Amino acid sequence: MTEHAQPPAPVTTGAALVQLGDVPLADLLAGAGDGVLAHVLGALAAESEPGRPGDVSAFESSF
Amino acid sequence: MPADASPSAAPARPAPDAPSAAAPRVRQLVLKVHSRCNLACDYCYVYRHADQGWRDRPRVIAPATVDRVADRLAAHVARHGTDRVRVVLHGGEPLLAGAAVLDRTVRTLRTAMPTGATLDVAMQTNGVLLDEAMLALCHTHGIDIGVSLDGDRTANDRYRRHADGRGSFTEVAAALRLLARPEHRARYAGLLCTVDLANDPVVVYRSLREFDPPLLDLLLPHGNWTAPPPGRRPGDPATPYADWLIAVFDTWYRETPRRTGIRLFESLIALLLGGRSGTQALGATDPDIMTIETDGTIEGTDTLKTTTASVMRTGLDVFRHTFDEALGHPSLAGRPTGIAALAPACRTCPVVGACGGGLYAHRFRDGAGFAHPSVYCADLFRLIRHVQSVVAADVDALRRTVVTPPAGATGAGRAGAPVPTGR
Repeated sequence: MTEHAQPPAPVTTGAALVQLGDVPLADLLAGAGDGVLAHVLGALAAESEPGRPGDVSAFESSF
Repeated sequence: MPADASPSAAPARPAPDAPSAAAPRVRQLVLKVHSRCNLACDYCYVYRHADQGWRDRPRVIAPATVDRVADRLAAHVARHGTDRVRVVLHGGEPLLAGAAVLDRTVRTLRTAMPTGATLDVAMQTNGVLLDEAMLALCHTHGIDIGVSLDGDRTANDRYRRHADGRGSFTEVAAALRLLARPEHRARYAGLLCTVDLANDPVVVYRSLREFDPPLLDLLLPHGNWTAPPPGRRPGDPATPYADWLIAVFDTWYRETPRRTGIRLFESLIALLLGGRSGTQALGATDPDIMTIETDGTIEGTDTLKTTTASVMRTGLDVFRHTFDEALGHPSLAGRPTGIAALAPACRTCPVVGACGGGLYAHRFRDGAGFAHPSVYCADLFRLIRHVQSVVAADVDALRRTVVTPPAGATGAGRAGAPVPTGR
């Protein structure tokens, strides 16, 4: 069984349900290709950069 | 005098009496520059849902109102030391305000900004009036454009019609072909599509993709426990919206290279991996979006218009109240947030880390407030579990590849700092 097959019930919002494990993110990114998962991993890596606002959409307030 | 009553050219660092970095603040301002629309979409929350306040408001925002909004926003940014804030020009249909009003509005907002603070400007339009002249204005001011479109002609024109019944697809498609040209593409923010169960999900996705959008927003139709969305019976274990979204997800996710972003899905994947959400629909995001109506009235997120008018209306306006004063209202940051805001059933749900209770407006029940699971609870649960299983399998495979590189490969599997797995 993989470690993320049955994640513990999170006690707060924002808890990861899929564990990336102990492989450096840069290595995961390097092997991730150019699909959707690679794009999201890249965004995760960039999240910690200073000056990046939490970019929650206000567009979706509308139809 | 209120703390942020006097705008100034202060640098974008916290004022001496600045609130803490964690204090609620406005990061996005939805500015209604025109209160009417040139379409009469059947499902529009502005005109067809509970709050009918638009009937009493000016059609076009007045210069004096824009001036006051600019002052309030600048003062708020200066007080909090915010380095970046976004204004979304909105309506009704914002392009009905005309180029002169839009030009003056953006100039006024930018001129008032404190030194060092960046103002991003975007616009959400139905696209009918989007032409070369409007695009020139958008280039001048760096206005990013989001366009609403529900799919191909059949899908779009089912609801997105003129008052005389004519569909809008032909006009919007022409506008999108213009927007997607190389000379204009920098201003193309994306497409916004409301899910309609009557439409084939993959056909809708492929139709939208033909316009080459950098990003797609797929919105669940607004509804709640008292006024359920189409096809969603509260408490019914059927998951028609999850089924629809999963069909799109499976098509989109397997496209390599990635053709476009879908905010809902990329937010969900990020949340599953311990990152942040880019949508109010997932992940219990902070209520940092404020709405200003054409008369200067301050409101919370527009989606609350689908509940009841009394919940939405703050009774505050930019002429008498600061943004910090308004943020205390229950329709803004004054409402419970995070795990404490959720229903007991949500707090122990195994997917709450990604779901976050769903969109706040979707939890509403008349007379009982918002302490309920989303009216889309069953759909969200199924969607999250599906995406989780797909992503977990791919992450597993990726880790195995990295830890055990193919013969002859180098550079992978090195020891290093652990990957952060939570916020």
